[in-house]
Amino acid sequence: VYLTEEVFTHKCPNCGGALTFNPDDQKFHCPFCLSVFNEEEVTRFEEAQKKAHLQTDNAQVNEATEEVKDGEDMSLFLCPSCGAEIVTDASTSATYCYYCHNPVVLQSRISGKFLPEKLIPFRIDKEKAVELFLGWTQKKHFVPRDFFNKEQISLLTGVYFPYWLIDSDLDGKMTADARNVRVWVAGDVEYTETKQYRVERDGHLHFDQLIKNALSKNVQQKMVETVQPFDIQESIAFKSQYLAGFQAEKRDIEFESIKENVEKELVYYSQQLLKDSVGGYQLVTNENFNIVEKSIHQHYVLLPLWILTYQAKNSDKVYYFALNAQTGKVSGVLPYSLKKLILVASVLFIVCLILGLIGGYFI
Amino acid sequence: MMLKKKTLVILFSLFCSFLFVSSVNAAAKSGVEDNAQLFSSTITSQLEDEAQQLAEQSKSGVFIHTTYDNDETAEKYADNYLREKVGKNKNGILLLIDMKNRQVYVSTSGNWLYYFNDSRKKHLVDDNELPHYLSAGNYDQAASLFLTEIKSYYDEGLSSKDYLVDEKTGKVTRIKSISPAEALIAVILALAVAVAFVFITIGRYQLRLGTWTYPFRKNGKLKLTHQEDQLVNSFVTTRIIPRHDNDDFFGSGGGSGGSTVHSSGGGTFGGGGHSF
Repeated sequence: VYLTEEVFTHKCPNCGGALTFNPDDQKFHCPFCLSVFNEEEVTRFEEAQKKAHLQTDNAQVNEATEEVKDGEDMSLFLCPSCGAEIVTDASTSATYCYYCHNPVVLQSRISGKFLPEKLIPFRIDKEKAVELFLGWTQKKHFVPRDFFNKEQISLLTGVYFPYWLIDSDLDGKMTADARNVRVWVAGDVEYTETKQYRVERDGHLHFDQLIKNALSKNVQQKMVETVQPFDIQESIAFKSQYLAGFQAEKRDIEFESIKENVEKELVYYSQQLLKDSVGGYQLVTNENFNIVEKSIHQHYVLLPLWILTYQAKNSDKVYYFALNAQTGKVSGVLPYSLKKLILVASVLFIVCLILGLIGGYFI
Repeated sequence: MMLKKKTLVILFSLFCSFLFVSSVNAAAKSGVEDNAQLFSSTITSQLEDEAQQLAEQSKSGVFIHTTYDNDETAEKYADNYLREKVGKNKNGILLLIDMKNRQVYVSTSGNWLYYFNDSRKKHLVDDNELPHYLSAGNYDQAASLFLTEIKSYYDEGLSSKDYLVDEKTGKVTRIKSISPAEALIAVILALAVAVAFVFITIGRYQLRLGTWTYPFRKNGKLKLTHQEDQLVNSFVTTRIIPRHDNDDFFGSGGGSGGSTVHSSGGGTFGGGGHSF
């Protein structure tokens, strides 16, 4: 199957070099002529170029041939800069040419129904990401002593991952029985006063900023979920310029397929909030809920992560870590030293035992 | 790391030995001073042997004294006699048969304050066990019974339920000890903490625990449109509180509990007497 696919690079208005986004100053830098542009300037230039292109040849957007091999999740593109073939995953929407290191954006994968509504730009650059990662490792006391080493970081990639950002409105009703018991003693008689209440709560519920992964190859990678939260307030309307210099992925999980689970989750949260509104009772029983979903909206967003590939010393095992490129939060499965753990647990055991014995001695 | 472990072991054993060393170590003395000449000659030596045995076993002074020559109350006389024999607040127990006042009196001090508690005193002295023999003139049997009974009290031991109550101020002094049940609970709790620590840490490192969850309380809002809390029923029930005369919890069985004590001549004494 051969498809015609647009592959493009955001080019420097001054020299035509490939622009990349710099998280430090949130601007676009040309590594060739060292020019710096903001987002507006790049957009204005590109729009002017587009108009000109209607009359003349397009210097910016190249037509490339995408070859989708049957049964494989791989695609081939031609680099607009050097003409080399770029192999990508079926979900890749921004990457680099292996040969000329030209950042390319795969137009079809960020347009039409795959056009993201919003993205959060990278705030943390590569050096800072390494620094944050090493700082995080210092706080992990139970990893084997020689596990962390800067040299072992074999790969560090900035990736925009696709997510569903969900908000929803619901109506909730709750009924329950509640009781308070008061006990007092007068002489030899113990009095127990029981008060039974009928509790009713009706209300409107609203949830937002619920973020769900939209890339199937990330489902197994817990760290991609656990680097949350992202501050959605900082998100901006999608502009493909921000992808320049990073990898980006296209979603392959449609909202319809996760909708049922999301709705279940929202019902659970609604029940909890309604429960929270009942206070001042010692016992609440026979809780009955009726939650009706009024509306649910999903927004397709790209969120920035640094993905670290880490080769363990003296072992073939590879570890992956994710770093939230907005907040710097790090997450990933860590190896642990059982020896260190048992040693600390033994000390803890002895301390607790001594405290317990002192307690027993004085009781 | 090895050094650290050793230090901990040493500290721990020091701590344990401190707990179990008894605080009072009086010289074991005993004697039967039969000034009123109530006992037969054969029983006297037998009583002396028994008293000596118990004295060594309980590391305390065990005495039996009879007298016609007493100008004070039996209590005061007995307390003074015991203090002279063992010293202030040292371990000791005395059976006084005061023929002038026709009183039997048991005075206790030191560790015997705990062993000879109120319920045991009531059993031996007040419930006519001793007065019964004494009023019948069976002095030999009464003295013999006294030694047998207090030996069994000592053998039964103490529990953390035992305590002292000051006769005048009502101040309670609890016996401090670690019972096997308490030690077992401490070991189980400490083990639970250590095991929980290991599993929680591993769970966190494997991203199975303590991971990110949607903060629905922060990101969710509830606007109540209807809120009602209606009282549907209210009632009061009553119950007569049963009296607990003996609610032991751990070990030791019957006979444990409080001992009423009083101060006399600077020392603290327990026990009690009864006329016969």
